[in-house]
Formats: sequence, C-alpha cells, structure tokens
Amino acid sequence: MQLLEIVTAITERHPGIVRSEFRGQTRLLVPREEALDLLRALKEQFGFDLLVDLTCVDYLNYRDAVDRFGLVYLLANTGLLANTGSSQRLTVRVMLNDSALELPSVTGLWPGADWMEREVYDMFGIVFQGHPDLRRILLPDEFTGFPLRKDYPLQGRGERHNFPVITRGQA
Amino acid sequence: MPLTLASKAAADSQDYLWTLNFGPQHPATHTTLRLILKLDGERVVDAIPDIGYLHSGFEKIGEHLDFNQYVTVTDRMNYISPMANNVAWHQAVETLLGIELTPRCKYVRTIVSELARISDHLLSTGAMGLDVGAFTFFLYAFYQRERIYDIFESLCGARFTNSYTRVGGAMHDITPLVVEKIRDFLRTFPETLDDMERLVNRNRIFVDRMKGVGVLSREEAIAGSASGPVARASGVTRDLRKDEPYLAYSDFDFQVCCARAGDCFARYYVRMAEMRESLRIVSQAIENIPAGPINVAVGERTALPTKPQVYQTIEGTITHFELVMANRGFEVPHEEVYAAIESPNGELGFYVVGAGNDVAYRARCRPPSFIHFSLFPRLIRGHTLSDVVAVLGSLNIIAAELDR
Amino acid sequence: MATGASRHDLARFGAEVFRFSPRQCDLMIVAGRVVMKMLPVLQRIWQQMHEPKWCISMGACASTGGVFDTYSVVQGIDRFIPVDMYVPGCPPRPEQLIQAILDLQDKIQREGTISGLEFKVPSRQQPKRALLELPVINNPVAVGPR
Repeated sequence: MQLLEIVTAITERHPGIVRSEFRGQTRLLVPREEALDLLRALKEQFGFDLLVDLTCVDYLNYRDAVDRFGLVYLLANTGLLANTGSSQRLTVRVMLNDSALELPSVTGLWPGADWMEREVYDMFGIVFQGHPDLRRILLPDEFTGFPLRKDYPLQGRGERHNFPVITRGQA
Repeated sequence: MPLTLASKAAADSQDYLWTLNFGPQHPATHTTLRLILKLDGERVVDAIPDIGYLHSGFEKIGEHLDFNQYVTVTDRMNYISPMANNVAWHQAVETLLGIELTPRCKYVRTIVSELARISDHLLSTGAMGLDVGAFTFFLYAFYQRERIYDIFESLCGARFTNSYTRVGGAMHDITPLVVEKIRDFLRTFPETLDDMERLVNRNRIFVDRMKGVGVLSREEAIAGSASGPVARASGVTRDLRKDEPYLAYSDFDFQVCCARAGDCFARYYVRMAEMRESLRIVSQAIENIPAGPINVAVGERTALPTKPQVYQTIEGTITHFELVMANRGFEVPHEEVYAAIESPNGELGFYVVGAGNDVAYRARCRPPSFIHFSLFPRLIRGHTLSDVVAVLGSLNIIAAELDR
Repeated sequence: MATGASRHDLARFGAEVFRFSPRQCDLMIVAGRVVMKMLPVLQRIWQQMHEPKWCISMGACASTGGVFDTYSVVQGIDRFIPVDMYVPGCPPRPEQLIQAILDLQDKIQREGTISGLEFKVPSRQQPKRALLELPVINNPVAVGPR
C-alpha cells in the first residue's frame, strides 16, 4: 500500500486529522483523544512496525503556536515482519496543553517506547497513562524542574552548585 | 543456553537474591553507566539499568547554538565516531533548509562517514575483545584507529573532535595528502583485519564467551526499535544506506551484512563484516571523487564563500556579510523535519524544528545507544555475571550518546 | 583510552596499572564532564581512595565545564574536590595526558607526601578563588507542577 493511499484512508476515517507535507515528509496532526486508536491502527493494519523515535517539542514562544506541547511519533514501515519490502515513514503529532499533560502510553504497541516515554516525562513532565515504570531516567530522582521546557533556563536554577565541598584536609 | 527466567515480581519476593551494584565508574562499562543486578549465585535474575550519569543537556544547548556551532557539540555525542554525527546533524539541517549538496561534497561526506564507521567498529570490537580477555586484539584495533585519526587530522586539523561539516558543505576540501593517506590505509588495513579475525574467530575462549549469550530475536529487535548492527545481527535487513539512500550511497556497490543468531558473536561478526564493506565503499569513492566545488554555490547563502570570492565578486561580499553579521544568517522556515543516517551504531537521526533564525528551536537527537541499552535487561536475564561485560561490549553503549 | 593503548603506551613512564577498585588507587583521572548525578559518586570514589592520593582533571570539560554551560554539568570539579593537575584541551591529546602524569610525578618529587599531613596547614585550606566568586546555593527553588 502506498503512503498516499494509507494517509487518504486514515483522513477519510478520522475527519479530525490534519495532514501536512514538508520536504517529502508526511505528517499527521491528530487530536489527543484519537491518538492511541490511530497509532494502533497504523501498527496493526498499515504495518508501521517500527517506532523510530518519540519526542516532544515545547512551543512556548513559537510563532503562531496555539498549543503548548507537541508530541512527535516517528514511525516507519520497514516491511520486515510482513515481508512487503517497502520502506515508508510517517510522522504523527499530538498536541497537549498545560491543563492536561497526559496521554496514553504506547508501550503496549511498541515495547521500545518504554525509555523514550520516560525521557519525555523526565524532560517535559508529560505523564503517559499505563506506562509500566514512569520514573525519571536521565536526571536524578530529586530533581524538580523539567529542563527541556522553554521556561527553564539553560544554566539551570542552581542545582549544579548545590553539593558539599571536599578539601584536602578531609577525606 | 536457555535458562529458566524468573519474572520480576518473583525476583522481588525471593530474598536469597543478592543485589550487586555495577558501575557507574567500573572500567568494564567503559563510560559512566550503572546497573543494579539481582543475582542468584552467579546467575543474573534481573538487571535494572540506571543511566544519566553523563547527562549534560545536549538538546538544550542545541536550542542556543546556531547550526554551524552545534556541530562541535555533536562531536562529543558519540565520541568514537564524531564524523558520522557531524554528517547526521548537517544532513538534518540541510533537509530543513532544502539544500542540495554538490556531488563532490556528497562523496567526501560518504568517505568520512565510512571511515568513521571503521573506526567505531574497531573500537567496539576491540573493547569487546578486551572485556573478554583478548588484549592483543584490542591493541591491533587501536593501532588501526590511530591511523584513521591521522587521516582525519590531515583532513580537518583535529584528531578526535572533527567538526568537519558545515551547512552546505565542509570546512575544507579534501587534499591530495589525505587521498594518499586513505589509499595507504586501504592497502594495508585488510591485512590487519585478517589478522584480527584469525586471532579470535576460532579462539575457544572468545567463542565460548560470545556464542549463545545475549540472544535478541528478530521480532524483539523490531519491537524494541533496534537498528544498525544490533538489529542486523538478529536478522533485520534494514540498512538506511540501501533502503533510503542518502549522500552518494546509491552509486556504490556494497552489501548489507546480516546474521541470524542474534547473539554477541553475531553482533561481533556483523561489525567485522561491515568493516570490509566500508572498505569497499571507500575504495570505490576515493577513486571517483567528482571535480568541482565542495560547498554549495554562493547564491544559496549558506556556506561561507572563499576569500577570493569575497574580495572579487559582489555576491561573495554580500553572502559573507549576510552570514557573518550577528543579526543576519539563514532564512529558515517555521517547519520541522527528521533526517537520519545509518551511523556505525544504528539509525542516528535529528529532529530539527526551525524558527526563522539560524538557531534550532528544538534539536532532538535519536540516539541508537539509548534504544539499544533499553534492550539490555532482556538480553542478560538468565546469564552469568561475567556475561554482563560481553553483552555490554557487543551492544556498543556510548554513554555520551546514551545520556546526551 | 588511546593513552594506554598501542601507539602512545603509557607504560613507558611507569604509570599504567589500571585498578578497578578505588581502594587500590592513588591517582584519579577525571576524564570528561562531570554532571550533577555523577558528582556525589565522584566524591565518594575520592573518599574511598587511600592517602597518598592525587587527582588529574583531564580536559576542559572536567576543569571548567567547557562548552557545556548547562543545567546539569558541574562547572569545574575543583569546586567540590581537590585537583592537583589540570590538562587543557577538549579532549586532550594522549601526549598531554602523559605530560600531566610526568608533571605530577615531578610535583610529588618536589613536594612529597607520605600521609597528606603537609596539606593540613591552614594556608592550604582556603576555598578556591572560583568558589569565592560564586555563592553556593543551599536551597534550589522548587519549580514545576510536580
């Protein structure tokens, strides 16, 4: 199935989905409620078996931005499990706002999403419902901010200087 | 050797299990990563990776440095093959800007990224050998790595952190000296590769410690988003160089190296085989480098013009002014793209969001090490403690890329 | 790693034996940036080492934070642990590290240490100048919804 046919089939079934194209990359902007259903359909019916990446963008100061956070699912149809020999890529974007920073987890569909969702939680504070082990992954557990948000300063808020000093006399 | 696997809940309830903290400074982890191992005697019942000991905010820096500055930071991401990171980053930026590279630049970038693949595989297989006791193998590998460093040093002045690419081209053109050094390397390297294979391929200790350890099935590899040599050792035939040819890869004759077993030995073997294919690519490319400029034309206003162009043509002067002045720079669309290359470790991609000026609004890196390390608990369960280093070495986890 | 391997071979200078336990070491080489999750571990390693002991801060990232002026990278390990020798470069060449080790051997020849007692004079207990410039914040502000 060609990518165009897949996208057409999806947009006919879900009228809320906005489709866009840039430099040959097809993106689908999906309402939050339909996200999990659509991702499941993409995996099970259309053969997008590889979750290449899952990330998030904070559109706080972005021009013409309406929503705060945009989750990005980069999918690929490798054609390996179905032996179709095709290679297609599709980007699915889901918008979230401060009022409800929650989204169903996709670890049930792609187990590889486990750490990617933890990283997004760590960096942006977005909660994935149904994730088996949603903890901070890169930063220490006692860290309080979400550093990749745009309102977090590059130099941090003094966390990096808050340690005891060991001198030669001690130890 | 399949063993009975205890589930995590069962592991928690068994109080005879012994918890061992592995890392974060243990030399066998090579860099800083930590594992909490639950042991039943010598068997690993469960492994809980704890990462972030080298998290330095690369993606946050990417939102504050411009496209040409950030390439120095990508060097430090996967520091055993920095050239591949440079190429990946600027490929994403050029996709965003819609720049078509010159044929010469495509060839040069292909050559350097294949040399980077050889040097990466040399380190990862060499360190794998070191971890399981083959020290001579490691010394052979490191000697050849130094020769690749020499090539890079003559090419761009830096031995380790190259920062070679620029938006729309490269820092310098390739010189006859570099070509001669690469030819010399191509002549002598296969012999060392044969020696390395003879050293360990049939070595009983090495084979016994690698075969059947850390088996990753094909379905697990795809479900876990694995890529690169790790996936190919499990029978996944995906290689972006063939599937989505970028740069000049469609011009060359080479093969995708795959194995079926999915164990540590298969991962080692795929890497060794890939080095030979990389040599083939480099030897084809080095003899066929197209003539012409390495940077895109002055009119595109992305790469810095040469000094004669600046002093003798009005377009050169304007381009130089536009690029150098702080409040000018590129015209970047308010759009976002993802572009990936087949880096030595797997699919290395960047998701770049443009915001009008030449600083990325978001510079997300898709790090292969991060994805592969999440597979680690699955691979080690049921094996012995001494297999931990073998599996870690075969996955080639680079902490700087893992944590960013 | 290249310092210990084929071409540069640190063993020529009698300083090659890598030990995997801090309790058997007398020299800690901090190679690369230290982030705030790692720093407590680093301090613990330092405290586990027996006297006499020395520390080399290898590379700009360990000495000053280097290009990584971000929320998580410690801006120089000498703010929190004592450092004997700084190696410039990001990353330093193997020759530079070898030179640093030679210089450290020279320093030990000149100054000597058996029990570290000579370090316990008050003049050596002054805080570093970099620390005087920057206040140590004891209560980072808690932010974020959770």
